[in-house]
Amino acid sequence: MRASPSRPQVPRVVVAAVAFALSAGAVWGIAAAVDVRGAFQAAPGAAPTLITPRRPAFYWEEWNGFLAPRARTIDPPRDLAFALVGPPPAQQAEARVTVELVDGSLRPASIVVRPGTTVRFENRDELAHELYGVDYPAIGPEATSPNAARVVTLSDVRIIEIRDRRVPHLRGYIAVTPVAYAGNPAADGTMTITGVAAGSYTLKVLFDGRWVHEQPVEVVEGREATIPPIRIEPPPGAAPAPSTTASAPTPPAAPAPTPPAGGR
Amino acid sequence: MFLSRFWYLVLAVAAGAGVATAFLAHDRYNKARDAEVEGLLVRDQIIIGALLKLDARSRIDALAAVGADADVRRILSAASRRTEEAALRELNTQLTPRLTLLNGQLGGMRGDLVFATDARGKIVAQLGPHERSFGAGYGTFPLVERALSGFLRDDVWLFEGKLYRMAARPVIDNGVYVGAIVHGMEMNADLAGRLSEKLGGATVAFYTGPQMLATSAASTQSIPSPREVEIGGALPAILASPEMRNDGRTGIRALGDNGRILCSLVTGSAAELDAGWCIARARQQLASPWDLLRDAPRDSIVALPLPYLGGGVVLAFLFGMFFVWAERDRPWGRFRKAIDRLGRREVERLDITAFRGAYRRAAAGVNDAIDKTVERMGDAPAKRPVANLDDILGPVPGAQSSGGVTPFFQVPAAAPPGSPSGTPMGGFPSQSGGFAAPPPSSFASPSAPPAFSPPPGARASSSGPHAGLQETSLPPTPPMRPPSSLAATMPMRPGDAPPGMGGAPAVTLPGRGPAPPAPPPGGRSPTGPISMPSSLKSTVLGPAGTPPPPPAAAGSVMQGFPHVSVAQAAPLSDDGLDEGQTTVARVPEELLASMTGQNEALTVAAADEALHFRQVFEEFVAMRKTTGESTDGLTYDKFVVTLRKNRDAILSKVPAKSVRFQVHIKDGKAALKATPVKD
Repeated sequence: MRASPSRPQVPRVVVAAVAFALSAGAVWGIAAAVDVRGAFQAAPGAAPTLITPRRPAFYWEEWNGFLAPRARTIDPPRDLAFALVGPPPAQQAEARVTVELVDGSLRPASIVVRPGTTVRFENRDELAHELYGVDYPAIGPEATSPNAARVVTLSDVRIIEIRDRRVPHLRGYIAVTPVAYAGNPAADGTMTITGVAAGSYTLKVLFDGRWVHEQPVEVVEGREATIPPIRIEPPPGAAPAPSTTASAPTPPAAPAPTPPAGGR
Repeated sequence: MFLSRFWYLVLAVAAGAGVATAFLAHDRYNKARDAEVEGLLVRDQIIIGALLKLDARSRIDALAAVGADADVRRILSAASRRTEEAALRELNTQLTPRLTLLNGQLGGMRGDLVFATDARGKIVAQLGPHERSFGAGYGTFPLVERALSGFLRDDVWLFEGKLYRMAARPVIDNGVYVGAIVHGMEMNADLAGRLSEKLGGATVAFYTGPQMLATSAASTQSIPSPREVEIGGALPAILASPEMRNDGRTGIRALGDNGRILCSLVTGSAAELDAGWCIARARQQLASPWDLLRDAPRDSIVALPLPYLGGGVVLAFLFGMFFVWAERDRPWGRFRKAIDRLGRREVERLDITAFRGAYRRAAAGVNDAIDKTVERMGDAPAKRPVANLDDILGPVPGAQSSGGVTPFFQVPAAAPPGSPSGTPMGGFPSQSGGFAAPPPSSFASPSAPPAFSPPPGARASSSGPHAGLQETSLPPTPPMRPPSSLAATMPMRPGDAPPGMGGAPAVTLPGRGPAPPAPPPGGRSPTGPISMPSSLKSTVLGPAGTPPPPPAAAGSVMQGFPHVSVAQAAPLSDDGLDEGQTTVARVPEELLASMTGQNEALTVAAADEALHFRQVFEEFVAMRKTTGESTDGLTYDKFVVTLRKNRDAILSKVPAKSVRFQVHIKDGKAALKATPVKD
């Protein structure tokens, strides 16, 4: 009779040691990521472009004659989006993004997502909305009742304009592009990207449906990266800023930036 | 019936022109009304735009009282600084009644949808349906956004399935924008009705997409205005039209067959939702030209030149009646009277010369029927009697103007009843094919012909006033050298006469009396070259030394020639020739023409006729001698002139080729009968 060969036994201690080492390395790597901070400044007259209607939007629009009018400006959490293009992070978050429909508008109205990201439109309004992508049949017109949501998955690399058939003035933009990190600024215009791995990146800013700013960002291990304030200029063709001095608007409650896919 | 038919043609042309004019007027009327409707629609478009603009201005101005209200300013100022729901609800409780009161004070400008927002665009108080909860806002709506920025503005909203014309203005408190007052009035059927009334009867409709929201059809128009269903049916095509997609408005379009429509998007943000208005007007079209008269205004009818129109109608009628009388009633009356006379046996036959056209054919038919009836009854001769020439021709044309040259041919105007000349005049003897009833006629010579006096200078062409023609057989013709050609010239001058013909022998042929050349002084007969076709020459002259056949064999050229007299070259006295004296006559032109050889067929026919005339003349003279009548003044030239006149008269009325005359005794006197020959 032949005796069967015996399987070599790995000591459990060795296995535990390897596992510890891997875990420690991962924790060290995360701990090695740094934050990237910056801010945006809106130039006079910088505001989202109004929709050009087929017919005049009004018969009368005139100043009240008593108090200087307030100029239109940028709402940073709603109108601006930024992205870091570079080495992907070691651990990516789930590719899901939520956009709210509030007070007849999208919040945020500009977002940057990776291809394959699922975007969830939640109607927090009391109006029904019917969003659709302009020249983008993948997002066809579909009614979304109040307190209901609509989910779409975006895979085409492009900038998609979103409109609403029931609220004509509503407009937003979704940039689908391979990025490492993306997000929206705070109400005060500040930007913070946390947990960025060291490496060379390119910072891109989305405003009014186009990339309005692009600059390289070098992230060094163990040192926070600070980006100088970025000035947002008026869109080309926009009306010049009114000469009257606008009083400081009462800022609305700044919503928390929606974390984009792969965001912080 | 020529005039009647011509008049019918004139009336038909006039009627056609009238109908064509009516259709043209009908078409022009409809086009003019279309142009008028289109012009009204363009005017309506301008007016409705101006009315909506003024309405927007009025609402903006009316809101000033609300925005300046102290309570409103205070509450909105407080709301702009608070975010707690309880505090906002308290402010809502305070503001709502105040807002209701102020809205009520607007009167006709009272809003169907009114709300007040804080500086962030959040609703603090709202009037009207679908009151919204706290926290919701309109701050991003362009109208509210601009109001919060300090501007007065208007807009059109599609809110909960209804169209609202909106207006907004800011609320300022202590030098700060603390909110806005937003005011909306529904674009409903009431507004459409008021606009329709101001537009003077146009149908006004509001729509969003293919859905009709409100319509007001004018009730003052006499014709049905376009209805909502008609406009709604046209909307999809209108919204899909390139002009609507690009410009937000359309031109004037057809609304079915009975309307015109013009559409435009509203001036406001709802235009992006395909919200707009339409103006439609009915086409006031006339279905037919008859409607021109049916719908004619009374003053237009009164303004018509009725006397002239009536006079024209009466005149046209009278013309028509006259032509009908002249060309139908009167001949028919004559025919009917003749039939009546025939029925009363006042006449035995109808005088067909008294009728024309169809009545003549009918009369001939009646006569033919009478003949046949008589023949069947054995009362009539087996052979149909020939008709008197006068029955056919009436008075001989030109007989009166001949100055009594041929009195024996002047037949009585009406033959006495029972006389041979007035009796049998049935149809023409069917001696020729296709000529079913050629009526032979007879010349009834007068019983006492007046003295005949020849016209001056006529002796050369005739045998003299008192001389009958001496019918002689052609003497043996001296040998004549026949020309080789058909138009050989035969010298006929006395000096050139061949031997054996006396000093100046000449051939006397039946000549045409009316046109003889002037005789030379002395009464010498005209002589000259006479052309004669060789065939005729051989026939007429015969071989040298061969006597011609007897005249009884007349009927052909060869038979007829022996009747040609040879005139003696003896000089003629001014008194004319004695009876039986050989005369020198002019060669008949027919024969001359026949001798030219231009048309052999014509030549043969002319020669045949000339010989026939000669034969008839000779027979007539002989008959008169037989009956003891005088032949004074009876010359061949005169005789043949009358024959030709009668021949021409018959041929002009009867489709025949020639006319044959026969000599017979009528009432103991010599008379002639004419028979048309078709072939």
